[in-house]
Amino acid sequence: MSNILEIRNLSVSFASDGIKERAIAVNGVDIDISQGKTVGLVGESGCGKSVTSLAVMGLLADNGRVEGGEAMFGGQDLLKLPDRKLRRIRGNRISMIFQEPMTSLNPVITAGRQVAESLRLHAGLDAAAAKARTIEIFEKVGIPEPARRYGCYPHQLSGGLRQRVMIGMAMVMKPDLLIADEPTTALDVSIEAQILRLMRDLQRESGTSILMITHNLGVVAELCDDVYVMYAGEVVERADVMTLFKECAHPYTRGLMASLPRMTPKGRRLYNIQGTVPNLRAMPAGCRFSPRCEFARERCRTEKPPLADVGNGHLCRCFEPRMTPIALGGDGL
Amino acid sequence: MFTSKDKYTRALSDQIINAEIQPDDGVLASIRNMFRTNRAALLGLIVILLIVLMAAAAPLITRYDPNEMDLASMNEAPSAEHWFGTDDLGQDVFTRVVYGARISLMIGFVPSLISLILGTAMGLMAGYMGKRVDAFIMRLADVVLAFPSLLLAMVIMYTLGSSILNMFIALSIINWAGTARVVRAQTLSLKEKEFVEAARSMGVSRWRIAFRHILPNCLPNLIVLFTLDIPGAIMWESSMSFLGVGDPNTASWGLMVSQGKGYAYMCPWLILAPGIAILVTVMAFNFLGDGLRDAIDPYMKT
Repeated sequence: MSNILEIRNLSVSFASDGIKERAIAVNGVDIDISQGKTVGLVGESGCGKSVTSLAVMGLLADNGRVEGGEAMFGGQDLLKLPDRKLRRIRGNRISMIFQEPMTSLNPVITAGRQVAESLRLHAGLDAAAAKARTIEIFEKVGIPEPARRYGCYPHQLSGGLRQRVMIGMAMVMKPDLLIADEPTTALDVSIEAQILRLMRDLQRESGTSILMITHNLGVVAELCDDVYVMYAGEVVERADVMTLFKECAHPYTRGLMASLPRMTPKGRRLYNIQGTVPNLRAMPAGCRFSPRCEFARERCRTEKPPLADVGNGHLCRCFEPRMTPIALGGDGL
Repeated sequence: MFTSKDKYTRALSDQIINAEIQPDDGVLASIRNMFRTNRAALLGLIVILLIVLMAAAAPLITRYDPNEMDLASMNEAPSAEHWFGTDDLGQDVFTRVVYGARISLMIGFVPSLISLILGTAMGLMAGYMGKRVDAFIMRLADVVLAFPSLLLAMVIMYTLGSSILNMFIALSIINWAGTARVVRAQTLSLKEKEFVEAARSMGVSRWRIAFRHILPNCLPNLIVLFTLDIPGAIMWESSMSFLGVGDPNTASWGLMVSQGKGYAYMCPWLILAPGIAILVTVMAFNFLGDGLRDAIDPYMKT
């Protein structure tokens, strides 16, 4: 299986006003995305998952900077491409869906014209052809009365329809890779299920790979083939989705699994991981999870564990990976 | 083949989805609604339309020529023959007010339009490109705004000479900086919006984002600014003409007041007629502009 995108040793830093030292938000991340697969990127807020995707797209804010690494896509390193060339890839071969469908559509341009813009830009279609094609795409992403919706402004559409427009916009050029940054977080659960099904159907049809950034393990279980778990700017575990849900090995991942709410046992406290994420400018010397880890030992606090293979491509950044099955919403690790 | 249940669920889901279309029809509906409730704005709009009509149909409204002198009837009081009387050269004041509307409207529109375009371009560049471009353009704007406007405009007129073209230049120079500030502020906030990031992720170029994605979001504000710039320009021109730095060959209302001021005691109609014309026009534009601002404001907050 060939990889459509290979991220190697990616590091990203940010400057803030009044502080000389740059904060390292992403530290030596490796991610492989294979053709036609869906890869989940999981982690809590601020662990660097969005920053990773923005860095690959060349969309970091002005105060962000790629410190090193590469992102090989179709034989080119995206991190070294000039903006002019990157623009031809963005929206064409790699596209993105954002979290808030309410704000990621321009309020003063009709939904149809925003999708048509991509066709005119990348496919060189004229206005009439772009419109016809956009209406086709609207139909395909399940927008009822597509011809009428073409002329609707975003505020006239519901959240679910807006996200469908966004997906249509992202998929219109049949990209090789779709980066979805928490695409369903702002939607209610029934719409979320519809949107996830739509993404899976479109993927099956076009063979697009998806990088699914989320903190929702339900979405991961639903959609992903492989999963990367990030913590404090580093990948701590990588596994296929079955392995991850059955026998994840890293204490952080196991903590996430154990803290999933379960319907059956009544009246018990939900498990939670103690402590908070470390400050980006004051990372623990050894394992970054060690201050919060139930199993941390002296070695964990002084020495940094490598991302090691614990069997069949299942990677884990821990000196003592737990190799026992995990119970979702269980009492402990 | 659809079963009857399929048909039913499909119809139901269509119904639900159609119900999800919000009744809000946007800025235009809000403006229509504003005219229904805000009588002053409606009055302003009607008065402006009447003045424009008067300016356009001037030869049909009056039988005199605005520059025709009749030395046999100088400084005559208003009568059936001369509705607003005559001036010291025997010219019909009513005719001059009617024709003066052409000049004053032009003086309202042209420099406002120039400063609108110039200010928008400058503000958009400053806000979008940031850094040195921003610093340069905004310091330039500060310099303009630091001068008392009337003084600056008069200095420009003295330097360039008194012609209507130079009047346009002077008024544009004093007016662009305010527009630039507003557009810059709005661009700064708009460029951080998610839809700009989404546009970038689609491979849209920087210039296209600035002009096709950010600028249209500024338009409602620009319309309001434009409507409020027009009476400002008419006032500046009147003031400058009154003070004697206007173009002496174009019969604007301000110039008429200036020329009539020497006879104000004996012949008050010489300053009252053009003075009231200025007052009515400026107020009409202000009423309209205020109404538009009220209608558009809620859209600018979201």
